[in-house]
Amino acid sequence: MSPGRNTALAGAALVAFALALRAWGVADIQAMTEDESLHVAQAEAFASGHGVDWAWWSPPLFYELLHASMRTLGPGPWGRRLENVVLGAVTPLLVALLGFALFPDRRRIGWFAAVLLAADPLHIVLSRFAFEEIQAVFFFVAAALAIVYAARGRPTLILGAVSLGLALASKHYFPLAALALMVFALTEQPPKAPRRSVALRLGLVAAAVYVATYLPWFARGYGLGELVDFHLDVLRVERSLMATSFSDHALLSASGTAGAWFLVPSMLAVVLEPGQAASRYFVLGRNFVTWLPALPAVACVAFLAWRRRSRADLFVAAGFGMLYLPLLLAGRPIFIHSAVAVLPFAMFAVARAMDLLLDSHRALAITWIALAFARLPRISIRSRPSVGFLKRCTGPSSIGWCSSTRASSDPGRAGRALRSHAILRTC
Amino acid sequence: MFAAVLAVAHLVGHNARVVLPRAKIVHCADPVEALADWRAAGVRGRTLVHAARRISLDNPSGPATPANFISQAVRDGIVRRIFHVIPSADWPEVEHNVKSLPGVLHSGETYRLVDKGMPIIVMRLADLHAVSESVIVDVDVDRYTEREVAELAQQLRRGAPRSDLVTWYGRSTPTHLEAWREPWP
Repeated sequence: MSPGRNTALAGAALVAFALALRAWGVADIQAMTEDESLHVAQAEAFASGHGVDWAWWSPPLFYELLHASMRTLGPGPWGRRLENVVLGAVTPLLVALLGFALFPDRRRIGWFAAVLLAADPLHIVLSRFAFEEIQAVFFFVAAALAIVYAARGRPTLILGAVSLGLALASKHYFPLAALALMVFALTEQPPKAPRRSVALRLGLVAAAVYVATYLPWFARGYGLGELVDFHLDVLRVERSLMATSFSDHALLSASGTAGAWFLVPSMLAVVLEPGQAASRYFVLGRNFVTWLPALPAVACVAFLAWRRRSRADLFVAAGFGMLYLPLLLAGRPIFIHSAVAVLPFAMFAVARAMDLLLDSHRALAITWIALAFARLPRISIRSRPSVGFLKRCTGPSSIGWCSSTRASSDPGRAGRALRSHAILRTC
Repeated sequence: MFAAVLAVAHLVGHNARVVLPRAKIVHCADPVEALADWRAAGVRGRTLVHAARRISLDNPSGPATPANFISQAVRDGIVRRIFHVIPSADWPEVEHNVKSLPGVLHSGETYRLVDKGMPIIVMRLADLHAVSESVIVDVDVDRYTEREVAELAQQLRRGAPRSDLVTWYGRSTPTHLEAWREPWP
């Protein structure tokens, strides 16, 4: 069998694996989760160019696509969740391809990063519901891949620009990272490509796509000058937000600041449907075996980029830094959902560290990799974990998504949560 | 491509604004009737000069009331931006309230705030100037002094700002009633 065919088969297996983790039982919970009801209301408002409280500052594309999906597939769970299931399952494949393009001689980096993302509990749980982050990250990784391909001489620059525009129009995580991508595109172009043309095409096409997503807003009578004013309003209001500004500030505070995400081994479980016999939880888990080493791994990759003048390592370190920095600078707790924005590059850094360790300390690396992957399939396919299982999540790995558990065996804090919406913080 | 998108966006926005071919002024029994007049006139996508003490942006669901008639107009696509002109007597209190809100932009003597993405510029009558488009106007004459009402009428008749639909309501009748009657310039 040819290497190309092997890669294609492995890629298909990766997508199937990621899809299974995201699609299986996705309609078990028919009702909208708390955030989904918010997002559905936003989708209806944004489709007619309107905003809603607590979301008017978000870019419109996620809500427009959610509205289109619900109109096509109906308002049920599949109509709300299919887009994220599909995009969330394909993102790991894009990560693998990006890894191959960045590290052509060390393809296992791409595979490691892809599988880690495919089985990451937080990425899985958000892929199973209507959240903006999954779509935004899909488009950003697609943009990075297309721009790296373009730097290698493929005709994918416009595709990269379109993807970048779609990422920017999905969530406000990417302005700095978009600049980093543009710098990469300018400095890595093939010798014959005129730099000015590359910058113009990339910048203007991305901007055009971004503005085009605001057409329903323009259809309310707004003008181009008002779009600028609107974005100044967005900046001003986003900067003025504090943790106490949010109605769900208990969950927000429990999420911690961005600086704590990769340092504190904790997870959140929100009671979705309290019940006498069983309750459903929305569990925002983390795989600690890969999350906790993320920052040292990024530092290691940055060191390599400096020491070896490695553009690929610089790409990974800069990608992570440019996505993480604005979240760090917010200076207030941020919902843990936002961590998904930096996950692909965090997983790249972890994968790079695993790759290096395999060369120098093989036994240690294999132990680490085994720990990172060992429990993931069991964790991820388990839709109804027990309380004991929830408790065991304090171990090296964390868990997947909404779950049911018996009220009678709930721990004390969970018992209180059954009577009122509350948050469990474990570990 | 970028220029084409900007042109399309400009056209979409411009064409979404429905302005009356002939300006008119209407005396209404109350604010709810003003909303009915806007609907009947078919205006859409407009800047509203709202000369009253209250902003009337309560929950738009249910029947129109003096407390929610503007939020209904926003929901229905009639209004996209508000210049809220505060009576002089109420300005100190309003200014104090607005200053305490987060994310408010203070520029000169005006305050810019945002409700669900819609800009609201809070100002005094003296700060109301011409804008680049025709506006619709509603005036609660009960909240203003006679002098202010006369000044507002003069200002609107001067075209600062231009207006194609003016609705006014209130129990009191402006002394200079002729200023609030057609023909409207």
